[in-house]
Amino acid sequence: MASRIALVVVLLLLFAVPALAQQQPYLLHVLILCCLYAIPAVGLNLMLGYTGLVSLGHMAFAGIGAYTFAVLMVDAKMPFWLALVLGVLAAGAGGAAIGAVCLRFRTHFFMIVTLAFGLMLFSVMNNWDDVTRGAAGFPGIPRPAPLGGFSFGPLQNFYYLALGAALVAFAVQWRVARSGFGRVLMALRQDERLARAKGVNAMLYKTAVFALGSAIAGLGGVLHVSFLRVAAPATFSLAESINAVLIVIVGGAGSLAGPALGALVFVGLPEYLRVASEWRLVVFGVLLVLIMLFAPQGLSGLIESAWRRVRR
Amino acid sequence: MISIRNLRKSYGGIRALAGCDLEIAQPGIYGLIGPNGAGKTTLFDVMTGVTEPDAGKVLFDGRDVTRWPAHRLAAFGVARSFQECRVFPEFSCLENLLFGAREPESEALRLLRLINLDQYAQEPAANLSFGQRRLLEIVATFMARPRVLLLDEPAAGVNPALLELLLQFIRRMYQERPLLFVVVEHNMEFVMALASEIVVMHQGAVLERGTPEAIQASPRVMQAYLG
Repeated sequence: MASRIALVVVLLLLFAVPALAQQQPYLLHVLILCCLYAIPAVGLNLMLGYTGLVSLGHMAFAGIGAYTFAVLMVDAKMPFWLALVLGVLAAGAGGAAIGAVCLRFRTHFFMIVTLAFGLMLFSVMNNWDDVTRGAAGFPGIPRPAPLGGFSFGPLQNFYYLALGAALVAFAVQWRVARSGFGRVLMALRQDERLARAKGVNAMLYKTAVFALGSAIAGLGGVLHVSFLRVAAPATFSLAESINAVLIVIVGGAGSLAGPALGALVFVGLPEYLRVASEWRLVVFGVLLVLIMLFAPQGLSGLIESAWRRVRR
Repeated sequence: MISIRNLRKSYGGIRALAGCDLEIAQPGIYGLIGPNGAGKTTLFDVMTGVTEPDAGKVLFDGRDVTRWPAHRLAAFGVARSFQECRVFPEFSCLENLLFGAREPESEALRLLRLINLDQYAQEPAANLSFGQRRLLEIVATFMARPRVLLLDEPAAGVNPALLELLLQFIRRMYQERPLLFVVVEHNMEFVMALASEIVVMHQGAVLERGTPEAIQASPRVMQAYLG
């Protein structure tokens, strides 16, 4: 009951942010980026946290969604929402196809293959000038079309869109974690050989979660480029994929709130450490080491154990 | 029920199975013994789809299941336990039993009572002792309502008190569901007390089979074990 009340309070606060921060567009900007980073992190959490699949090319699937969306909207003049759906589906399909190859490998071999695919996809985004506009990026991507008279042009309105999309991603994650599908994913992470002996078609389940995680990443990618109004390869680079892994691990792999906490730390903290000027990334690095040292289960694990102590 | 025909499997230069033939036509508890490296676990791995053979056939109830993947064999009714004891450590004891189960929760609770683990039903399996985890693993295999049950060294690492409990449990299960059990075991006292027939493997093939008494008296078996 108490955790439900806490959840409602957090949600109310999140919805009240634009009203509370009317004179602080920078805060809204940072919170929108937090949402946009949290969405792909949810997809990766399903793969890494629940299934034990450490993908080092995750943001490349966000890129598939983003560039599909950009081409359909700008070049093919497709309506925003249809292009968004097709972008998400393209990321999911790309995830299923590439996942089917990557998942033939295990452990560090799997990581290397996902890294290689991530680099290949980045290279395509960076060099296929006719379609992706190359390294300079794909400009002219509009903000979302109004929905029921509600325009997403103003920053506070885009915040609601980013928050809504993030909540949808978290709802999907919550539903998966509590489903039979989620139990199988958790079983695969704990002992794949045993799960197979119990009748689990491991390849099928892992491909399904790879596709689902990639589709969620695609949603994040689409909204990210719509927010920035440009699709640039750097948004989907190897460094961003590594960041996504760190967001999941710092937040707490396999926990429902982990991607949100991780994104807050990863996006919010460096911004608010700007007071430390050129030392900010050093301070940030030290903070990350401390989090990993004192919260090996991530921030959500730390909060959970603190919550248990309070309730005793 | 089981027909193994000329099964061969090599790992590099080591021949784990060298033309293994085995026919088991009736339900019962069969002990599979042999010195280390005789090919027992490899035979289990091939029979359960963990490893593909180089040559030969595996038939269950007349159906050729050679090279079927593990999940398909499990769906067909082949269940197994592992030499190194495998449970899902983060799942509770009850969740371990219900994962991939065809039996209802009431049966899971009954089986937990039979092995004195009912008070730990909601406890993560990681918190159990090794012997208790071993019992849990074996009990979980029954939840799939298998046709064939392969137990790989069920007595390994289990203390004498739990061993007696395990023996009683397997006998009881066999009385309730007379299916085909094949038990790989190094604990001779345990396997001789449990099995109605013993199959001895040596150098990747079946050396001898017979009643526990006949096997214990066999000079060929003594020769294989003692060299």
